[in-house]
Amino acid sequence: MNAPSKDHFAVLYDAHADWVFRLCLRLCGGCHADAEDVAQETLIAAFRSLPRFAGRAQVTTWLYTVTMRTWRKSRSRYGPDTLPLEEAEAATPRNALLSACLVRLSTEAALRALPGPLREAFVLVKAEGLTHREAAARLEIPQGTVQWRVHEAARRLRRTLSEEEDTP
Amino acid sequence: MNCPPVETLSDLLDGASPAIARWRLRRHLARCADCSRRFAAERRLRDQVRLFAGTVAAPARMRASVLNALACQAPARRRRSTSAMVVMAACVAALTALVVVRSAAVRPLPVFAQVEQATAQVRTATWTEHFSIYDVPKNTTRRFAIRYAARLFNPPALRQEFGGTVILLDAKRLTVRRRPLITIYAMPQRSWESFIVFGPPEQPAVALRKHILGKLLAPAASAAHSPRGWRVSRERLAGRLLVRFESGTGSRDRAATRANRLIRPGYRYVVWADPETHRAVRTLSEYYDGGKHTLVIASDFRYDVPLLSELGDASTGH
Repeated sequence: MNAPSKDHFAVLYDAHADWVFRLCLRLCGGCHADAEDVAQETLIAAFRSLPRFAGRAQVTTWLYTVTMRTWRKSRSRYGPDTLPLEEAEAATPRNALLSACLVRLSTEAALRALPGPLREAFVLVKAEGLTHREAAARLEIPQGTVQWRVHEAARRLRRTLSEEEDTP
Repeated sequence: MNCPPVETLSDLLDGASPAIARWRLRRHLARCADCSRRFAAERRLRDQVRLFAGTVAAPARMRASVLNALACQAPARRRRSTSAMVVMAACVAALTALVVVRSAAVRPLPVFAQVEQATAQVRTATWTEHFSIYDVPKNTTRRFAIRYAARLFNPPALRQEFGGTVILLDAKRLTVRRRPLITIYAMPQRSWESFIVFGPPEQPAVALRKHILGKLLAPAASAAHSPRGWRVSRERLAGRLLVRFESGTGSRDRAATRANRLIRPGYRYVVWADPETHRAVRTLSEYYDGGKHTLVIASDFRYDVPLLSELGDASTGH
């Protein structure tokens, strides 16, 4: 295959950038800055390796794999998880800050509190709607492992979210 | 049929159950109100996660960033293929140039000169911080979160009052306290040196232990007290030219749990700022993970508010 051109890039970008970004956003637990970084690096890596893409799998399948690898790499590079950020204003009333903080401790924070391996399996199966087998192929791990991770992630999320509902 | 475990219901929702098991489960769900409720809860959880980020589009600037990154790295490959002679010649030329300009100070790249100029004019900043400690002994979860919104202002010393809303979540109890907890003094001259003074301790399940790191009145006083500064560098992140600020805490910071077990945060802030907008485009904070304890911190630092328009407001109090 010839070196990809700007037209190739435009096609790849227009068709896939949005869902890649959404996937990254879920993986990053709602942190837009992190998601943008991972999505950018994914698309850069994908575009560079486009000449090596044999076309045996669908582009989306291939991009899933690239995304997961990029995300894992970024996690190891950036170290620990951080909570997603909000647009915060110094002038915001305290009550609003309080409620915003409590909201933060809901879905996004619960998702973000999951360890990386659990989160990626959970996001692929529950949010992206992949089957366990598909998720196993994307993550390059056994299907049974995916199933266990999804169950464990769901168990932790249930516990976290129910605790938050219980708080006054 | 006995009531199935929740994992089985989850598999049913994911389409991971065999056909016969699916049929049995559906029949059971039609009869068992309890399982039906659990199944609905599983579905709600899935929908919640699915809805999250469900319609978000990629930021418009991302296309240009990716294109820039691809364009920037293309010449690097060509350079690799050049012969050693050419490289050597380039080195000689560079050395010659260096000798010629050796008397001149090291000049920043033009794009960063602009940044530095703009940054020098910025005298106030806002800092928002999420500070969470996840303390998980055995099966109970204790969480500790602080939400700050603060403003830096006014040379010669920037004083940052953290009017912290302290939220303590201990299993099912929620405690909220509002009082300034941390004060940061930062010196904008040269190094952005800053100092943290922890406020008085609380009496909650999880408390920050009083630990005075130092009172800063003059730069000279700082050396005696675990100073921390912002190291500023220029960096390309995902194709964007950014200014990178890095700062870390000294080793004297302490946070303690109810059992008086010590958490040593040893955290590190890294902020990447956009030269054009002077806004942080990403931030990173490191935490301490000591077996059962995990400290997670994230912060958002912005320095995009000019002093002159805000000074009157800021000087009236926080």
